[in-house]
Amino acid sequence: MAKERLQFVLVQDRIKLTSDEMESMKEELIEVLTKYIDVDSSKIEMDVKREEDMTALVANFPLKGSR
Amino acid sequence: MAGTTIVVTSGKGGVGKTTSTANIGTALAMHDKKVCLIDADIGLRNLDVVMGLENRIVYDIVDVVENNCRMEQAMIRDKRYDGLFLLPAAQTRDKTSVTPYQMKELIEKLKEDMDYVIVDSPAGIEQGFKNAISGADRAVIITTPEVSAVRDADRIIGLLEAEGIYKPEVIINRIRVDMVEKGDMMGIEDMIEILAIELLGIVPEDEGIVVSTNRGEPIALNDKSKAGQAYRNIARRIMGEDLPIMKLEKESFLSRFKKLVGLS
Repeated sequence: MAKERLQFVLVQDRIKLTSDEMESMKEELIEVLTKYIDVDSSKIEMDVKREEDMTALVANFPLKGSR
Repeated sequence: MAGTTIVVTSGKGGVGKTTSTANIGTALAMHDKKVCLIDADIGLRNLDVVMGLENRIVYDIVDVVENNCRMEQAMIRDKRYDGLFLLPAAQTRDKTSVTPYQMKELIEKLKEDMDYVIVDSPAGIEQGFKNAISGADRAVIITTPEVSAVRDADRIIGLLEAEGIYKPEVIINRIRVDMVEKGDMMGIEDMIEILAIELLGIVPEDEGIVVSTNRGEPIALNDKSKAGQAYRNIARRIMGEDLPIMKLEKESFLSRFKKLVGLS
C-alpha cells in the first residue's frame, strides 16, 4: 500500500507533470500507437525509474491478443 | 591532511539529521579520527544540545564568517574525545547570514586539519540547505520508512545531482521490525529499489535516543544500544570498511516470555 502510493507520487515528482498532464500524455501516446499497432489500453503501465546515470520514463504497451 | 566533507541532509524535518550527525561524528572520533561537526541550521541550532556542549558556546559560525573571531576560537572541543569538535550555528541570525561561497571557503580551510568535516543540514531545500551542501564531497541522506520522508529524500537526490554531488548514500532511520513484518511499514529493500541509491545503514527505532538527546550524550557511546551499534557500524562503513548491514530480528515470543519470567 505505502509502496504503491510512494511510487505514484515519485512518478509525478520526477517527471514534473501533474496527474492530469500525465493522463493526457498517456492518451495521446495511445492515439499515436493505435494508428500503427493494436494496443491493449487497459493494461498500460508507466513508471519513472532512476537508473545509474539517468532518469527514464519506462512504459509498457501490451499488444492486443498477444500473450 | 585534507579530509572529507560529508553533508547530512534529508529534505523533511524530524527524521534524525542532527542525531545522526552527532552519532556519526562521535563514532568516527572513537576510531581516533579528527572530526569537526558543523551545525548549518542557523537560527534553529540544536547539534550543541545533542552533543551536550551548549554551555560552552562563545562564538559561532557567523562570527567566523564575519571575522569577529578566528576559526579555532569558535570550535568547541568535545567533552569525551580530543579529536572531536563542534562549530555551532548562530541562534539569533538567519540563513542569509552565510552564503554558499563563504561556507565552501570555511570548509576548505577547516578540512585541511581534519579527517572528516560533517555538516548538519537544516530541513528544507532553501538557502540553508544550499549552504550546507556547498562544500560537500559526499552526501548522506536520512529518511524514515514513511511515504512523506522517502518522497523528500528522492527530491534531495535530484537536487544534489544538479549541484554535482553524485552517489549520495542513505540511512534509513527508525525502523520497527515488528511493523515491517506485519506489513505496516515499508521494507528496506523496497525503499532502496525505489530510490535507486546505496544503503549506508539502518537504525532501529530506539527509546534510548530520547534519553541520550536529553542528556547530551550521543547513543553511539552506549555499548548496549542497538541504535548505538548501528551508528558505530555506519562510521566504519564511512571509513571504507565493507560491513554487512545489521540484521534486525523481532523478539520471538519465547525470548519475550523468558525475559518476563526472568530466565534471560
